[in-house]
Amino acid sequence: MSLYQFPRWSDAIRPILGVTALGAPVYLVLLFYYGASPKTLAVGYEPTQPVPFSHAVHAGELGMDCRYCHNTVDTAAHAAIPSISTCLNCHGDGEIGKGRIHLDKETLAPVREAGAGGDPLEWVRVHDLADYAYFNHSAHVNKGVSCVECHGRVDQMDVVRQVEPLSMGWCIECHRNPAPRLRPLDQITNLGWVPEDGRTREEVGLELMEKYNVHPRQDCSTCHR
Amino acid sequence: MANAEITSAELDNIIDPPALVQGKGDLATITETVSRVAEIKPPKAWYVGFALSLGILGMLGAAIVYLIITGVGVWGNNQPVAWGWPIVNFVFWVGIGHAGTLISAVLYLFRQGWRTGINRFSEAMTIFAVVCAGMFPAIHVGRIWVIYWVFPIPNQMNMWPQFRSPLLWDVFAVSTYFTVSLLFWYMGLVPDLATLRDRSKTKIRRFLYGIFALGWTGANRQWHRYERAYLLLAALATPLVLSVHSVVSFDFATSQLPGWHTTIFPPYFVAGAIFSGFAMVVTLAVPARAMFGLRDLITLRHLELMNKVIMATGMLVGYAYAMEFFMAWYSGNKYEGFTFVNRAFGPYAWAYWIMVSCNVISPQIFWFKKARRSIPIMFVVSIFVNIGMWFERFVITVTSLNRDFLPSSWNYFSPTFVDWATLIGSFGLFFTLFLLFCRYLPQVAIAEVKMQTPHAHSHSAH
Amino acid sequence: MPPLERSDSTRKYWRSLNELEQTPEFQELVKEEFPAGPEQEWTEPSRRRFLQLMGASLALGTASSCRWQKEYITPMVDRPEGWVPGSPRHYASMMQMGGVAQPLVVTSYDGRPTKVEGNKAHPSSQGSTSIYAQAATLEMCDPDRSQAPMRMVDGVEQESSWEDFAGFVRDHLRGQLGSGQGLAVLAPSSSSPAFAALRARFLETYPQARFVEWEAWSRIEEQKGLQGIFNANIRPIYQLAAADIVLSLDEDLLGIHPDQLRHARDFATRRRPEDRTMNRLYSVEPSFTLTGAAADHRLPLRGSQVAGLLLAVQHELAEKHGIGQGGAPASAPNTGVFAEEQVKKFVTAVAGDLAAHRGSSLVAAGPTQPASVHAAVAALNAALGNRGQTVEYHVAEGAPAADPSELVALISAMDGGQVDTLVCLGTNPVYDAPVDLDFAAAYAKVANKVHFGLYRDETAVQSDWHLNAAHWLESWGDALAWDGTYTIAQPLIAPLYNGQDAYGFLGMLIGRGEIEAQSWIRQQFGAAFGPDELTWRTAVQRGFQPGTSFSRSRETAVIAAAPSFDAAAAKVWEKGDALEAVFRVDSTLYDGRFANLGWLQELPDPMTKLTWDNAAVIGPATAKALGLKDFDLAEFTVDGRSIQMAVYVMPGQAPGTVGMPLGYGRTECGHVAGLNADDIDPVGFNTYALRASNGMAFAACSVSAKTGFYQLVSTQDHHAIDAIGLAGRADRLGDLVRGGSLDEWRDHPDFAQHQVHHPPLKSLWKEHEYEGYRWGMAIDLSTCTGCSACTIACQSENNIPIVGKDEVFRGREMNWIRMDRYFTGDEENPEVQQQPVGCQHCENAPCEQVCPVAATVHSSEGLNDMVYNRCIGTRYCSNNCPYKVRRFNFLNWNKDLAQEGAEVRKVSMNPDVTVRVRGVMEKCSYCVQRIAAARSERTNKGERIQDGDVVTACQQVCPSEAIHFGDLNDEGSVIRKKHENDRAYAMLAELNNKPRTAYLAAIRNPHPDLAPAHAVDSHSDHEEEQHG
Repeated sequence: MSLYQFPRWSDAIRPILGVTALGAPVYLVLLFYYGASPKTLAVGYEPTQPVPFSHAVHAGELGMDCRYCHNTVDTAAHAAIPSISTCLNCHGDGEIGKGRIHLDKETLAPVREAGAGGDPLEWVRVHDLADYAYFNHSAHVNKGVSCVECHGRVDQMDVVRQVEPLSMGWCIECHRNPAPRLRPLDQITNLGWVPEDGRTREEVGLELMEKYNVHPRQDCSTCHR
Repeated sequence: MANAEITSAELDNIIDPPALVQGKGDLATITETVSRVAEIKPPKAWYVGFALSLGILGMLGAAIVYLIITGVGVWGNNQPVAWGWPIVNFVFWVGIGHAGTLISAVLYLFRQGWRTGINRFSEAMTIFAVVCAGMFPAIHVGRIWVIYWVFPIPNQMNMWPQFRSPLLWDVFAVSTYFTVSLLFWYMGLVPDLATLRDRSKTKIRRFLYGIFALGWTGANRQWHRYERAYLLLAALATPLVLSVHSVVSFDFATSQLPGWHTTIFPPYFVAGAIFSGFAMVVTLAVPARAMFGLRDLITLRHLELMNKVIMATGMLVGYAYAMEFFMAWYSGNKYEGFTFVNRAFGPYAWAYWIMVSCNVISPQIFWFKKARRSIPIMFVVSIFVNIGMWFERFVITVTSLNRDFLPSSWNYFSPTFVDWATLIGSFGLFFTLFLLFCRYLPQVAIAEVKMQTPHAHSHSAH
Repeated sequence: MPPLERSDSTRKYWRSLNELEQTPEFQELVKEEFPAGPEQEWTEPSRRRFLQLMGASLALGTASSCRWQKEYITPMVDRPEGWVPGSPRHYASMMQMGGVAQPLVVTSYDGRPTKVEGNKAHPSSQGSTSIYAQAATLEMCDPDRSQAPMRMVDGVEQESSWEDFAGFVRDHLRGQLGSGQGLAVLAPSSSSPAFAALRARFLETYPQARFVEWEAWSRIEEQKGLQGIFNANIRPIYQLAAADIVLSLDEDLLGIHPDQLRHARDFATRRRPEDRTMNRLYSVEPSFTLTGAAADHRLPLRGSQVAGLLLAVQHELAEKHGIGQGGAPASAPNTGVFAEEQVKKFVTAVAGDLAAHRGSSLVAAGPTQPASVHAAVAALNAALGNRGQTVEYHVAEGAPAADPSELVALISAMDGGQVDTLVCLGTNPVYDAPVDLDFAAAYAKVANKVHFGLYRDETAVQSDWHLNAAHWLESWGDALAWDGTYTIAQPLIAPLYNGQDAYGFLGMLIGRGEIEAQSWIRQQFGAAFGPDELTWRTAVQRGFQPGTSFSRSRETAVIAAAPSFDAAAAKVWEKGDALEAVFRVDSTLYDGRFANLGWLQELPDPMTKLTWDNAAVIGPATAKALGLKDFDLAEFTVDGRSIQMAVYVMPGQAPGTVGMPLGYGRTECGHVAGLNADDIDPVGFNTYALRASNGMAFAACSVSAKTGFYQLVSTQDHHAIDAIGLAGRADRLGDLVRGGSLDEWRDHPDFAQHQVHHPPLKSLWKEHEYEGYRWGMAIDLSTCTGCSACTIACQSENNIPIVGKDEVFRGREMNWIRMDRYFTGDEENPEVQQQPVGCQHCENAPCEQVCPVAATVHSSEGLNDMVYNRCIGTRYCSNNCPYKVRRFNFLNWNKDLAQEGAEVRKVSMNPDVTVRVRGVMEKCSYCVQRIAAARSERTNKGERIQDGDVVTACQQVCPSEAIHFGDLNDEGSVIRKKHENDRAYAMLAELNNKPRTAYLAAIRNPHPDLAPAHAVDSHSDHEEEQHG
């Protein structure tokens, strides 16, 4: 009767078949979910810039306020990348009223050239949303959401890199539960801020939600138009 | 629901049925007749047909590639007729895909012996039809590359599909139906595959049939389990016969478009589906039994019974047509009323009357036994019904859309060559699969037919 | 309108523009800015990238990682103070058409003009614009614009340069011609003082030279007629707000009249019965105009019969009411049509009304009518005491209408070989000059043919020189508005193709030192209004100089002879009689200058609804008599010259007339309108080929039998509707477009809400709650004239693509606002109702429930959000939308943006609106981007959005203020009042969709004797029934 029967060893295959049959879809879903998510693809993106500008030095050691350079962040959708003239305010070439810091530093040459009418600098965009997603900096900064929530501890980065996935799901999480991401407006650019008198951020946040009347909208048209 | 009752009622009327298996109906002959088909070289007709279908299938492929590269604008769809032929074809094929499960499951539960001759056949047909049907919703969307969004897969957008949408119910209903039908079909195939395995001469055949026969030995225990499982699957499949096309009808019924927004759609669609399904079985069985010499197993009686079902469901459908008009008038809703007047006498009147004459009038000839038993007549009628049922879906989809509420947006729909290519092409897909089935698998459930032989009956406890 | 830039905006502007010019990227902006990559198919990147990039410069690298395409940010070298990247700025400017200034305000993103609005502060705009101004941004970045000077060297055209041309001027004009003997300039009408000064300079440089003005569509007859009475160049200024009775004699007050915007606005104030007593408008015209459509009573007459009607009215007034000195006729025509009952009744009614409203009535005659009619009309207005009340006669210094006879003289000079050099300074006479003059032939006789213009047009290809002009958005300018207000244009962007503006070009011709438009205009301005900088800055910033309108004529004796009328013209048209061809500039293309603007080509004609074509428009009875029907090709002949033209049967076209819109059939224009060079057939039929100098408005015309078939395409009634369709339409029309007479409204102010009876409406789901904002719209059908400006404004604001004739034929037009036009009543003289329909933003939106992927969902503020990037394109939502206002991207309509040379189109796209890829659905969003802008502006200040902060594009442009938008939760808001208005109703409310757009029923004010017997709405109240 062997003709009719599978060989013994074929019994061993059965569990394997079963496992693959059931496991495959799960595996594929997980592969898709993690493999294709910005968590995997985008976080950690750290392009080299034309000028090795160190936020760690400027924002960290020197303690410059973010808004000195990114001065439209609290009034407009876009946080302006400073124009060359802003750099030259300190790294000027001895013009009246301009600083003379690192006057002849090699790495600053492109900046000076640009200032002198040469080619402008081409910074590489690090935090890049999809073109159909409209983000407004001022709307967040004015409601107590600090730079650090999306950009991380830039004040500790020599080279800026992306630390958050900036995925839709990630945005929505915060829009659903903003409390732990809020801080007093006067601490907005203090990336290292922690609540004093040992209160949790939740507690502070809930208070601030009242104070700043924070009601994040979750309508599609909030970001997609 | 209605259809099942009618069907059984119809069949109960049969007095003194002639034997379901004609000719020299001993077991060996049956096995021989059926199996031979899969073993000997097929007739020329098969090669011709297969080549033809394959060619048409190629055309379908080309059309789809062109469609996806260029955009759904290559079809005739427009504003306001945003759903054109693709959806018509979808519903048409899903309808065809009904007879299979009905015959296999429902008739099995009703213990209708006569089903055995044709069930394998119609189950195969079902599966291939659903394959064709499933293709259309996929290619008809604007951006097929993100169509997976209709499946509830966790994703970085934290977005789920919208479960209130009938289209989503469709996705689940049709895929469930497909899965169950496939299982049911395969289940039934197992013993016969074993038979083919045992008869097979070459190693490859033995190996392949062997794999799929799952080591069937025909032992008593196996038969016992088999019967149990088959019964369960039948029970499982039965509600699907009603559910699938009901859900498909929701796509239309749950909208608020005059001509779609109707409560009678579910039964009406199911009746129509069985109607078209049986017609398609006849269309296929008639040539097949001739081509492969199965006249003794798929007998005139089988065909006659099916014709009765066709006539019955045909009248059900006719009743639905009439009811739609009555409701439209009785509701006193001017938009509803206009839609139906427009159907019958508007720019698409031709389509409407084709539908009526094919679906309601042509089956009436089956009142006559002569006609019911005449191969040419039943073949022609079954073709008519297929055409008529396609037009039914066309009438529902297009004529309702082309003139809805605001006269300013009224427009006329006319198909493009790509519409034609996809419609005809879907038949290419269907027949390619079907011919392969005829060639390599037992077209008649050998084991089950044997139970209908006199011998079987003499043994069976009556 | 957000506030204009505070003072010294211009300086800031120039500075920033200089910044742009510094960066090489900007120079290459046009070509290299936005290479389209596959993944950008999701959404055209340029739109939004404006927001992302600094200043205006950006370049894209190749994708070097697996995330988005790598992007570079190139900050300005020195960003001007207060310049916020990616935020809109608004600059006042102006566009001149036919010598009349249209005051505008242009929105600019990072130095890119993206949207044109009207200048609210300006008396003759009040915030609205014409469709032509709306399309200006498209025109500016039209890839078909001529991009470099060209020169014909022995039959071969080759690229030249401005230097070469300067050389030509130096050697030939200055050198050889010297005194200007044989030099002629053919320019369009201009009311620009600065240009006039320049022209004077030109003539003093070349004393012998001719300077001729030419416009294909001129109001010369009006000017002549009034000249005779007032002995001055007179412009009548109408005050429709003060007129109780208006009689329009073939005058399209609300349509192509230069002062259309103010007219529409004033007219509207008298069409809202709850606000003021309603006026009554009588219109007499051969082919349908917007004015005729808005009229309470319209009388279709042949153009040549209008004078007769005026006579009849005058006579009636004199006889019955003793009104009319001097020109009052002893007798009136009483044969032919004037013997017809309806005409008699019409005349009696009009005369009665005019007499009863002395001093508050108005008679206006159109430019198609002869001078004698205009004179008689002026006299009649004087006799009725309307002068100073509803009409004022102003002395239009420096704004004369172009006189065709000058062109005639010039051409005969050219024929006589007296013209050595002809400069077509922005004109296109080869295309639009009267055909009998055969300009082309005369032009050939000219030794040096110079053409200066935006496009390499019909004239350019026959010229020895073609110089590319700068668009008005790229250049300085000044001109006088219709009322004479001095209006200034400032450039929004540096000339894309290094074109020259008219001032600079004329300066070149003069050849005495370069003329720089800005400083020249500034200089002239200083001379006129004082030299101090502040006045100038303020004027530029404001866009005009207030208080500079024309002064009234002091002429007291306003007497005119009776209008000349040939009694034979009264004959009722019968088969066999000659037809009367009616030439009129097209409602969307004007005289053809806008032919290459796809938006306007695809914009349906407000009356015929035809797109991408003009047609010989014939009335139903006439068509029957001639045995012609829709889409028949036939040969039309006017004294010996004939063209093949497609027939379109149009209710309301006067018997025996055939409407022939001008402006089509361009052979040398561009890839949209027609281009011989690339074998692109002209769009439509060139009716200039029948228009002779002796029949500029009307001409006897004969027509052949059907010679063929030509597929015309319209956006409504795509195909002829059968009897059943017509019955069905008639049956439901009253419910969709509700309206009634003033009396009905008086009896039941809320009659519109009781039109439809239906059972109580219950909702399946729990109703949404709207605590915050509740956006809603209201459209007043009583004031809407159907001008379709909203459709174009929407197109410009929302980056809506065009699809082309074939796709419109398939029914795939994309305009978010569909202007529905319905006829009712007698098909020879029907009543018209226009109804703009966009997304109604239903609270129980049927579309939302059927989308399988939740791509269209309800916002917390009641908006029906359409999420393009989520849409997979099942089109189910469209099926389930009872208003059929959803638009599907069946194909990639924006393909051309990626095409070589067409990237420039992206410059004027709105960065705040995603551009849609193929396969997704789109629709009106209530301008959600404008709501978002207002929101962030207010919330940053911790405030709530105020009423009037959010103005949708359609609302902003609407001349008759028919559209309102705002927060329904705000008790004080205008929109709330509109929704609570008695006339407000929701279309198809019986479906329980709860639309957020309310329509206000149209109220007409028919004369009791002429009114069709109205069955007053039976006011049956059933307890359990509801109304909607």
